[in-house]
Amino acid sequence: MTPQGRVKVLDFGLAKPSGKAGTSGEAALTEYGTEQGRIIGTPGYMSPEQVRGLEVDARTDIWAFGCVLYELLAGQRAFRGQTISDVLARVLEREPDWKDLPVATPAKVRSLLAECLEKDPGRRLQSIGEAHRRIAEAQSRGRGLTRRQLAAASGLAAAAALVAAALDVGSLRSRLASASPAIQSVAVLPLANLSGDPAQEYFSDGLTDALITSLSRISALKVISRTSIMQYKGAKKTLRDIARELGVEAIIEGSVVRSGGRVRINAQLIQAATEKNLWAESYERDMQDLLRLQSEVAQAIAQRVQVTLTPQEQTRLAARQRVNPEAYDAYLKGCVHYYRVTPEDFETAMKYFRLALEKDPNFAQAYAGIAWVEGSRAHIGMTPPEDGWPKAKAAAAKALSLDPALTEAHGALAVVHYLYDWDWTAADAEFRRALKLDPNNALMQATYAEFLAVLHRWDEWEPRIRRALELDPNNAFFQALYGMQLLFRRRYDDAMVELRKALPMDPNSLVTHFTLWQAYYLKRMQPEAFAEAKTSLSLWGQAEAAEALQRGYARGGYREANRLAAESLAARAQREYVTPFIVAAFYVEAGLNSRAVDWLEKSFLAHDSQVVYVNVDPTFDVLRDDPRFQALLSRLKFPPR
Amino acid sequence: MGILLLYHPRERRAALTPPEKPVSPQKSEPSGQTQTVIPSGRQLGSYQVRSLLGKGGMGEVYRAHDPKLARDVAIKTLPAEFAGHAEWLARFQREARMLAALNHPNIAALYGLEESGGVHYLVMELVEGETLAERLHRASPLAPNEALEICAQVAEALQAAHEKSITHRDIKPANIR
Repeated sequence: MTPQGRVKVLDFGLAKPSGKAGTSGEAALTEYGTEQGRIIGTPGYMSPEQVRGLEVDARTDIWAFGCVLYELLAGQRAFRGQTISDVLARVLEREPDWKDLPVATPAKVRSLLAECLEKDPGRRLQSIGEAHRRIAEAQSRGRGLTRRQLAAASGLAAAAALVAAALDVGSLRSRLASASPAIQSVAVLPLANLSGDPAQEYFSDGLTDALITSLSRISALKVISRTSIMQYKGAKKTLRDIARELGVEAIIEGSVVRSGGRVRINAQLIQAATEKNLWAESYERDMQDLLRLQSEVAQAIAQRVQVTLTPQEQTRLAARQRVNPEAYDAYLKGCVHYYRVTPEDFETAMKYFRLALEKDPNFAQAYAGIAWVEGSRAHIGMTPPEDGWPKAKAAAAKALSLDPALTEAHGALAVVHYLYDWDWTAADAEFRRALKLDPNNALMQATYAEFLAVLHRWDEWEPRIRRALELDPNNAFFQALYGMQLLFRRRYDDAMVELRKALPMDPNSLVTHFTLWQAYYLKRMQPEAFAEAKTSLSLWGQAEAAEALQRGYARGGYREANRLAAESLAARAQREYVTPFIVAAFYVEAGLNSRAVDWLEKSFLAHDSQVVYVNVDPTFDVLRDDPRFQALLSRLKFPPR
Repeated sequence: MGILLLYHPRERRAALTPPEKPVSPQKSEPSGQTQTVIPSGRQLGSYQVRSLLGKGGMGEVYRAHDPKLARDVAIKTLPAEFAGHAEWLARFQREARMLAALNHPNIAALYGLEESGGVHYLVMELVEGETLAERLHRASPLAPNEALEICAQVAEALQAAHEKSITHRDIKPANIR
């Protein structure tokens, strides 16, 4: 084995010379000279079918593998004799002497050996992957030697160990004893949908999500969030490359098949640097046990990567109740639509969440889903705030009454306190509660970062947003939020850099373009600011305002452009709900400060959740001496800085 | 509803099948004894042969140096008869191509199949250290934990090969290093 403790298999499938005399003991028998030089094996390790000269396949390797494992453990060949014909006769007719195995050999390993050394290939263990899995299980049970310990046992490292031992025996021993593949970060790749039916994609995606969520609850583990993961769906990259891009040490991949009321999940954990399979398992359950199954998978992974679960985390992971399969199915479909963030998808998501509640009126997660859709729609301005936010709040409360530890519900409630109740103390407490339950939730980290930025709590702010980006490095939304928060921090150049990074991740992200518009305006780069304002209006679906902006720019430059756009939006606000805060932004950039304050007041009265940004947004700095603006700030009762 | 077995038995395609019997009747049956040993220091293609590592009826294995990539490699010569046997050579080339695609940390890599002055040879990753057979000879049996760790890695190697329909056909301690 190599000094790193790695074992290499030599001479695959090719004709080979006999081993060095005196070391390997005997040569491979070949058909050389009689046929095509095809190897027929080395007597002690030949399978019965090889001995008989029959067609061989992978199962012959499984036999030989069994012979090697037996020999390593027993210190004797499984099939031995005085002459080659003696040996071959034993291969064909006799069982190995199981009593030669050490007493401590785990039962799992004994049965594995018996299956590998089954004479009839049809009844033999059929897959070497299965052998690997069983060994891994036996190892995790008995705390097998790790690769580092194995390296220490091999010659070269042993010499190094001698030197080290002379210097510090105690610490070396404890280091070796504690050596383990300590994995602190993982990414769950999208579970493959093996049903053969693309319409089942939502189900495998949903379970991927659920697995991420379960693992996220483990505070000692960094778990990459969904948006960054989904980009690797069907990707041809190597696991090592993916792991490097996402900054994780290990990858979890697997597959899902659902048939009738049963679901089967295969999952494996692979250490990225070595591509070593650390753990693999297959589960099959009734659909109604799905939640419990996810927790089981998460616990097994936690155990394998040897992160320490706090007692609370253990309880949380263990206590997953049964679920109504139809309700869960509808819930998963709803989630898929929620993430698409379009008015139509929000509507579809709501339908599915309601359907889930029809199937199971006590399904807490469906209520949490409703809370997130309602809150999101209200904040973006797709529904009037006074309409959407109370619904979001009620749904979050209902979810918590059903499952007091449901992270998604605590998160939704935190956002309601922050953006709708303007109850800064309650919001802070709820954010902390949600993040304690689910420290790997990128959305919660990013939202809490924004909350901290709005309150000018700059010391706490940056680690939060950076954590969100670490957890979900390819998410344009979080990248744009970082840009926006840097703008709030008045680090305009940094903001520009981060916002430009967000563009390739999602060229049509409304929040990126809106924020870029602000950034260029604050940097007094008017042509660029104009272009971004126009793009923003188009993406927002405000074609008339975009035209007005264009017209104004041609006629009188940047201020005129913003004035006409603001007026167009104001006219539209007569007919339908238009986020007043955005209208105020156009007015302030038109230099019409008094009109801007008018619209900020409207924003407050309409309970527009974006109004909270007045506390920090540099776009409105020109208004800070205005008594009406100051009155507005005091009505929002921001805590003293 | 116990935990089910992982990994469905993979679709097993036929293991490498030997080529049709040699069709050219004028070729003599190979005797397998005509190979001459390459002395150390001699050049084989772009490789400098350093020492003989093993020898047998099917060719020799040398330690050689690759000056282009500044690394030592293992070179395995094929018996001289192969040169004259287009069918066998083609079979070896096919197998070599498949092996070259087997990129796995637990499998000694095949770098290439080359020919120089009528000698066909495989260029392979040189794996240092004692073989498992030597190890067993030195100290046997192994501690159970070590035995399991070694076999876990061997199983990984085999799994990767089997997935590509490559069968080893001669797994034994002497082929594990």
